[in-house]
Amino acid sequence: MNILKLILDNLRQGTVSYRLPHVHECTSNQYRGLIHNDAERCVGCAACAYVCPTAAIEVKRAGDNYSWSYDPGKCTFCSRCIERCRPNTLTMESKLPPLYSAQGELKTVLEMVRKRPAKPATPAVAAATAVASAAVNAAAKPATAALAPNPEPAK
Amino acid sequence: MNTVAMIALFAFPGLLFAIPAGWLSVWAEHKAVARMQRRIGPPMLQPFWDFIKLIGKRTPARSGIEANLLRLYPALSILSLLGALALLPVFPQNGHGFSGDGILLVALLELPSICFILAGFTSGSLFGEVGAVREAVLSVANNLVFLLAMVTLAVTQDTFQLAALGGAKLNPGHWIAVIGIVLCIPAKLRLNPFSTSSAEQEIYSGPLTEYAGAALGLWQMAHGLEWIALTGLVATLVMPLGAPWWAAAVLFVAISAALVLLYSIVAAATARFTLERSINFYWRWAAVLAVLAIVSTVCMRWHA
Repeated sequence: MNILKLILDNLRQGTVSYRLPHVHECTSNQYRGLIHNDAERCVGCAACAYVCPTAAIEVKRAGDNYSWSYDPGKCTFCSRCIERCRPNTLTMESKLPPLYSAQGELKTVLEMVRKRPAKPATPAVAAATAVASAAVNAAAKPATAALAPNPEPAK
Repeated sequence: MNTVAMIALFAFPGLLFAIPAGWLSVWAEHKAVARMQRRIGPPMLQPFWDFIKLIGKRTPARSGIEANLLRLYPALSILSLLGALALLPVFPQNGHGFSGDGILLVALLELPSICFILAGFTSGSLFGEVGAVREAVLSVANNLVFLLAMVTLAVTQDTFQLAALGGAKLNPGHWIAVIGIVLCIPAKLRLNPFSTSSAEQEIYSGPLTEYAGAALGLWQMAHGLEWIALTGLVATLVMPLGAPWWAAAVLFVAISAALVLLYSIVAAATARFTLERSINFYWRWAAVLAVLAIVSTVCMRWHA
């Protein structure tokens, strides 16, 4: 009766399963968990929403205001958004997401004002600016040289 | 209806006792099997919450299925099992039962199985039909032994009145018949190794494949009541007569609980039999036991 011995052994050794919900210990610090966005640093470029394969991240603009939303229920935790985020405002948790019972319960929506980056100068204007600054520097140089004491007297 | 019958139907061992006790039996079986397989098993109130959850669900309407009939079968099963429970002579000294109530009990215990078969055919599911056929075959197989055992008990006491059936404890035929009934119960409860009719790995839930929501909840409740009615029948047959009412109630519960544990061990220790092997078991081996019981009893009566 091997089966009865097996049953007795099983009863003696105790259970290997656990009751849910339980506190799960992550075994890796590279676990792909929920995405977080730093609202202070986000510039609203929407690159994350553009690369998201499941549309878990959405960015809706209304003028300078925009809302950034993230639905973990749709997320595949591929981390493409994090790779694409230039200001590095997106981060990923390295722990299990909490259990939830209603659709969209963990959804995050951030309302933000778009921070426009300083516009870089166009090439023509940049060239003109460079020329003008060079001329100003050249004109100022002799005067400066005359005023400045000779650092190394001739021997 | 007199007071004793009212108490039996609505309080003990009927409605008030049997429904929670049925859920408790289902939980105990699941828990015991789980622990024997090194799983933690469900919490105690799981069958109750399952029922509440199922009752609250809305079942989508499906065309081509007679929904009212599908709802009628589990309701009929519950009613017949409550009737069977009311007939169980837990307190026989109180003038319980009537002449021939044993025959009514056998019929009431068989009605859920018939409803189960009909549910499979009515559901229009292929898995349901396969499960219904298996249940029908298994029912024929185990009822041969079950009926022979009941007839043996009746022969020992010269009556089919349930209150008297447990009275011939000195007769070896009585105990052989009780063993025969104990052997039939796993098939009636669709437990391993006789779970072919609801073999979840092969035919999903068999006749209950198309069931959902409240109707499925009623079936689960009926299954719990089946546990109490069948284990309770064995308990009433082996309990000593003349015990005070509280001792009889405690013995009834204790024997039923012991049987739940026994069947859980059997369910955990065995794999599912094929239909052919199940029939062989009942008609070739258990039937021998039942025939031996009735022959020995008849011989003893003839000798006396």
